[in-house]
Amino acid sequence: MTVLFSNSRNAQRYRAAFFLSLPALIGLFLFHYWPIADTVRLSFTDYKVFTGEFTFTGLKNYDLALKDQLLLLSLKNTAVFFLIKVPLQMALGLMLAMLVAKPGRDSTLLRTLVLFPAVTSMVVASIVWGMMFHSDIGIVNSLLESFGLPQQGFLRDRHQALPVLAAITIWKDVGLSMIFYLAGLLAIPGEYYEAARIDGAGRWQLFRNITLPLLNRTHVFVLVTSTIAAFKIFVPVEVLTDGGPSNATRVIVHYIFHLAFRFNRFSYATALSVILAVLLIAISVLQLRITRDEDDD
Amino acid sequence: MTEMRSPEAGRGISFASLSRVALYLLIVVVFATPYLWIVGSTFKTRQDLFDDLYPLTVKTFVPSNPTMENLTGLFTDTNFAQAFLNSVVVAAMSVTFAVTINSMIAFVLAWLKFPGRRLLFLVILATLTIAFEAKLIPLFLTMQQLHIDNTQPSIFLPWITDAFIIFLLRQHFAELPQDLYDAAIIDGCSFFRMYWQVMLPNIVPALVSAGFIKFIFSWDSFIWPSIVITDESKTVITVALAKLFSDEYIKWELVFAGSFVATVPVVVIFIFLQRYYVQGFVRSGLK
Repeated sequence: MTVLFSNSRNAQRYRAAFFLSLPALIGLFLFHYWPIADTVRLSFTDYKVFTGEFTFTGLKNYDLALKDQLLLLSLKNTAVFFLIKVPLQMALGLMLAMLVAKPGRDSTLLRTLVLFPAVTSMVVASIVWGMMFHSDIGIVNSLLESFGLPQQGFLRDRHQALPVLAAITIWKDVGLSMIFYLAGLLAIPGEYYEAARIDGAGRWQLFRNITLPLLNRTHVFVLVTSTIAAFKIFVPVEVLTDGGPSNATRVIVHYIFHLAFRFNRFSYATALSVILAVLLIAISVLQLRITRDEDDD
Repeated sequence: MTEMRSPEAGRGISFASLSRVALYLLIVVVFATPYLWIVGSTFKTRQDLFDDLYPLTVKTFVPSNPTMENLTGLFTDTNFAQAFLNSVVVAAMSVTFAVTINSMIAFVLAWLKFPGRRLLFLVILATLTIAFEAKLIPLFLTMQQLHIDNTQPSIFLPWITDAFIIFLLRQHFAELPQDLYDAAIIDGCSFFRMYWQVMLPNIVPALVSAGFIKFIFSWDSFIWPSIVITDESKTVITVALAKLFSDEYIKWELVFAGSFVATVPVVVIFIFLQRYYVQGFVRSGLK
């Protein structure tokens, strides 16, 4: 009797599990697994604009990619962007977290303010900072003039454009890094600091020997997520510089987007998408591996 | 400012507290200025907007002759009202479907044992490793094949199922007490009712977190709507704003007004839902 009962319970459970999962599974298949498989498939084809047909061409797209100077430049620019943005964002995020970790009204207000950009759309952030950094009508140049400093080209300057874009995205993203660091900080038991203080440790020593190492898991998490975000940089480039001046801000997603939707080179763009996806997975695996090894020491 | 009244101040302002105040001020300036500039400029005449830029003074941020002309111009002369409405609809659909569909499968993954459940969870989490950006082209072609490109559902359908939200909600479901499950079974409650009436009401804060994070994501989206929507009447606010900004002859006062409309409502909602937003990210990020 009990066996029978439990069997029908099992059947009921499987049925419920199936129907409750079904909508999500359909979504996952149609909009996640299928497009991924399709990206790989299309990357081995050639797309004809006039007929809309894809013909199999083997590794031709990947061959093209190896010789593509603009792709190389986009990857280089993306890497430079990552190198400027990620260390700065992590350092500032940690600094802000330590600043707002003390309970109090000013901490709450500051935390809310620093999170505003996280809920402001990237298009707005790009436009507003683009106008602030505008070389003719921007208030940053106006500020420089007030101090008698020389006017800057910013987004029109080949050397300044990428760092300015990095600054804009740091402004937008640093709030979330702060939140992750804040959660990490609050999880560190207060006794550790007290014990170290009794032993005569100074502020720097507390930071160096307790705060930093105990935040290891947070460092990894913030590093991986902000790295992936940095490699996907697109909106400020599209809105503000369109890859210029003279290709100084040409980055990988922007390059793929334009190949596909401006020049109709769908197949070639999918090959680059595959390369991007593999690159992102490799970066996360590598970062996890390195930081995990450090953990083992 | 409270630093001034702290006990240390009585003994003369220490360097440490002074530099702390300076740091606070710097942060406030960097993070508040863009918003003050948007709000101030939205209510300025075009003439004042440019006149007040050099030199930089309080006038740059406070309109001396406040006007509603930019906002009314934005809504009458451009397609902004329509785009705003479209963004609201897309966000509402995204949130409703995402919270419903993902919470259903999250409940299954947390409570309904069946062979292969762990594998399914891993296969779902694996989708997190593939960037949306890498799938743009086949997604666009899929929409064409389904003959729903250039429609509103084509904007939000691809991001309804979301492994991040499934993960977040599964965590919360899994933390509910076993007693809740047992009691429902003893009461002869069906698994659907267990999901809907027993478990779901217990994770409402997590649902708000998931919903709000999806809302922000949807409101922020730009690259995908700009690809899949070709019809200007169906466009969303970010695309409309970027178009305003890329016009040959940029109407700066309208760009400010557009930024104002795209930002202020969301920031106000955020002030009230901040806790849920932060919790959603923290809980899913560090477990």
